[in-house]
Amino acid sequence: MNVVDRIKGRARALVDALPYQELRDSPTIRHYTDWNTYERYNDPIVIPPRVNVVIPIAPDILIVNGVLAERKAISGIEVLANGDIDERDFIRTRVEESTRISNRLQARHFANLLSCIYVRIFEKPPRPLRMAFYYDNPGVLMPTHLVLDVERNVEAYITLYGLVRSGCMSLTIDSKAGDGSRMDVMAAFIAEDSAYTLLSIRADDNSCVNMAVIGISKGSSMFHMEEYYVLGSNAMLNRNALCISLEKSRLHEVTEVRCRGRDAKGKSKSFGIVLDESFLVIEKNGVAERSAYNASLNVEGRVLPLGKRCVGICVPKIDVESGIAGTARHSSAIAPLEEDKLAYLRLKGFTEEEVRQLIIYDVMDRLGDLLCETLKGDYLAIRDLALQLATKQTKP
Amino acid sequence: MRIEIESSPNGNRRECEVVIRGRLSRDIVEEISKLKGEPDWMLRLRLRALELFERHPWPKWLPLKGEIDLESLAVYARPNVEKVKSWDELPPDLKRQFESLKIPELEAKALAGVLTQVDSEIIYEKLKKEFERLGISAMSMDEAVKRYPDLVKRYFARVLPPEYKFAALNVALWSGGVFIYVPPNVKVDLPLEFVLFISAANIGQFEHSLVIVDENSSVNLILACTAPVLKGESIHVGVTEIYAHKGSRVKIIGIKNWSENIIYLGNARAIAEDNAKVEFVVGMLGARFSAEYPSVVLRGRGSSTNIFSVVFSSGNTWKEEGVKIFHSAPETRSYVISKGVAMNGGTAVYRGTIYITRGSKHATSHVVCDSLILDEKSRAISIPHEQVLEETAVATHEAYAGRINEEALAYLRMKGLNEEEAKSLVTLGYFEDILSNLPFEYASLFKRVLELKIKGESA
Repeated sequence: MNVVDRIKGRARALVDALPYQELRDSPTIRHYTDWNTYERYNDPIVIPPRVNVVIPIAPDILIVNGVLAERKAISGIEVLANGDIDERDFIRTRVEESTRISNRLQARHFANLLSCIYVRIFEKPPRPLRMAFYYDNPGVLMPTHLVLDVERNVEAYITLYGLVRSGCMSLTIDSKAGDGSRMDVMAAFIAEDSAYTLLSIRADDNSCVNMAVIGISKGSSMFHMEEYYVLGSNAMLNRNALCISLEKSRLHEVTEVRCRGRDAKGKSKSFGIVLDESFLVIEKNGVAERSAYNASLNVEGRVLPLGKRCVGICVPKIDVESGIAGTARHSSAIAPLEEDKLAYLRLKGFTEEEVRQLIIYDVMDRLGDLLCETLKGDYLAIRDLALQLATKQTKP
Repeated sequence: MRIEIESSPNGNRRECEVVIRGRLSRDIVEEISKLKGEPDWMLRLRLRALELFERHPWPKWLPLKGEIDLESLAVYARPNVEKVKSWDELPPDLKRQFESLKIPELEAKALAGVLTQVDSEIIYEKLKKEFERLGISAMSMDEAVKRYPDLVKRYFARVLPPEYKFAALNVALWSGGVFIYVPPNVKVDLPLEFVLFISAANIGQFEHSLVIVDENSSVNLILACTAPVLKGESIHVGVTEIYAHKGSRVKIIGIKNWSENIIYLGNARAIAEDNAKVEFVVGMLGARFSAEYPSVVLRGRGSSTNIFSVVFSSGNTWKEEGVKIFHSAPETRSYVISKGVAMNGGTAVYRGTIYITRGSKHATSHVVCDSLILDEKSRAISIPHEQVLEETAVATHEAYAGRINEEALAYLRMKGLNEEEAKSLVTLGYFEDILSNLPFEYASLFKRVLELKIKGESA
C-alpha cells in the first residue's frame, strides 16, 4: 500500500464522522459557504477523462481533472508523484504530515485523492515554476494534493493557475519556506463551476513569503482558504489578494495569519469586488501568539459592491495573546464607488458596463504592480483571461 | 419563608425577607408571579419564556459553560427593606453604602430622579416634582405592570424578545427594573439614575427595564451597577428595552463597577424610529465575567446611533463588549468606539455585528475598536462582523490591539513622571473619547475609579 492509499484509507473513515462545519459563522448566518453545493458533486469513481486544455501559460506541471498529466524537468526542482513519494522516507513522512483532516470536505478530498504531488525546490530555478490545474468534468469532485517545499536560502518564483470549466476543483497545497528562503507566489484560481482550495504555508526563520492571489468565482461556489504560519523569527509574509464574485456565485475567502516567531511580520490585504447577485465574504483571522515578541500583524479586507442584489461581508478578526506579542491592526470596509467618481466617468461617456470594466482593470493593474518582475509575464497572461471573465466579455 | 444570606466577608449580614431557590421550574416562576400579584398575562409570558429557555441551546460563544449553576442561586431575593422615598428612611448600612457612591449628593445636584434596586426589588424611588409635572413616569417595572398594562404589553419583551437562552431566562424570572415613559415633546434636561446593587453571594438578579420615549422627546438614563466583595459568586442577567419614537433622543449611560464575584450578562436593545437617535455610553470596570453588546435596530429613516464603550479587564477576568446594529431603513447612521484594556492576565474581547439590510439606501456605519494590553499575561481579541446587503451603504471598521505606546511613556518619563504615573496617564488618555461623553460629575468619578484600578493593579 503506497502513501496515497494510506491517506485515502485514513480519510474514508472520517467522511461520515465529520461535519462540514461545527460552529456558526456569525450570529445571523449559519454558514457563509453553502456546503450542500459540494454534496452535488460525485466522488470520482473512474479516472476522469483527459480533455483538451486551453490555458494562457505553458505549465511545467499540468494537472488535468485532478490527475497529473504533464511534468517538465527544470534544474533545481525535484518533482515526485503518487507512488514515487514512497521512495524516500522523509518525503513520505512530510507528505503524510501535510494531510490534516478537520471537516467533511477535507475528508472527502483526501478519501478520493486522484493525485498527490511533492515538489522540492532546492536551488534557484532559471525561471518561475508554473503549475496549472485544469478541470472540465461536470458533476465530479476532483481532488489533488500538492506539497511544495522551498529549501533553506533558496529563492523561488511560482505561478499557480487553476481554471475550472466544469466540475469541482478540490485542491490542497501545503508549503514550507525554509530558513532564509524567499518565495514569491502568484496564484490565480478562476472557477466557472465550483472550487475548494486550501493553501497552507509555513515560513521559517528569516524567510520571506510574497503572495499575490486572484480568485474569481463565476459558477456556483468557491471556498478559498489560506493559512499562513509565520513561525520563524524575522519571518515575513506579505499577501495581497483580489477576489471577484459574479452572477449568482458565492465566494468565501478565509485567510488566517498566525505569527509565532520573534519580530515576525504578517500582512494580508484582500480587495473584493462583488457583482450582479453574487455573495462575497472576506474573512480574516490574525493571531499574534504569546511567543511572537515584537511581531506585527496587519489584516485588511475591502469590498466594493457593484451589483444590484449583491451581498458583501467582512470579518477581520484579531487575537493578540500577550502584551509582548507586538501589535495587531485590522480594518475593513464595504463601500460602493463614490458617486462623484461614477458621475465623472459617466459624464465622460462611459457606460455602466464600461465603468465596471475600468474599475476591475484598475484593481488588477494595481495588484500586478505589487508583483516582482519575474512573475509579471505570467500575471499579464492570466490577467487578460480573468478580465474577460470578470467583465462579461466573450468567453475565451 | 425567612432565610438569612451572608452578604460580605467581614461578617455583615443582611436579611432577605423572601428567597426563592431550587431547580428552575413552572412552580418557581408561578411563585415569583404570585408574590408580585401580577396579572395572568404576565404569568403566561413568563411561562412561555421558561419554555423557550429550556429549548434554547447554550450560546456557544460564551466561555462560561458549566460555570453557572442556577440551582445554587436564589433566583428571587426580596430584601428586608420597604420601598422608601427618602434616603433617611433606609437602614443605616444601606444608606452608608449609597452615600459612599455619592448618590444622594448627585441626586440633589444633577439628577431628575433616582431609582435603586437591591437584589430583586426596588427599594428607593423618587422623581423630582418638576419632572413629574411634565408627565414623565419613572417607577419600578412591577408597579408599571399594574398601572400601565397596555403600555407594558405593547413593549415588554417585544423590543428584545426571548430570542436566546439568557434573554428567555430574564423574561421568565424578571424582578425589578425601571419603567420610564416620556410623553411627546418633553425634553428631560437632567438625567435619571437607576442604581443596581447586589448585596449578597449566590443571588441571581434579573432586572428588566423599559424606556419609552415618545415623539420629539429626550431622556438620559444612567445605569449604575455595584456590589461589595462577596464570599461567593452572584449573577446579574439584565434586560433593558428602549423604544425611541420619531425624532426622539435617548442616551443610556452604563457604569458597571461590579466586584470580582459577579458574572454579568447585560442585554440592551433599542428600536429607533424616523430621525430618532440612541446613544449608549458603557463603562465596564468590574465583574469576573461580563458580556454586554448594546443592540440597536435603526428602523426609521434617518435614525442614528452612537455607541461608546470601555472595558477594563484585570486579573483572572474575561470581559466581552461589542455592539449589534441593524440598519433597516435608508439614511441610517451608526458610529461605534469601543476600547478595551487588559492587564494582569485579563482578557478583553470585542464582538460586534453590523448588519445593513437591502433597501437601507445610503446607510453608513463606522466602527473603531482598540485594545491596549499592558503586560505579557493579558490578551485582547477582536471579532467584528460586517454584513452589507445594500449596494449604496458604507460600512467601515478599524482596530488596533497591542502594547502601550512606548514613545509616549518615554516622553512622560522624561518629563519627570514615574513608570506608574506615565502608564496611568497614557491609559486615561486612551479613554478620552468615552470620558468626554459622560456628564461632568460622572466623568470625574469614573476617572478616579480608573486611576485607582490602574495604580492599584499595576503597583
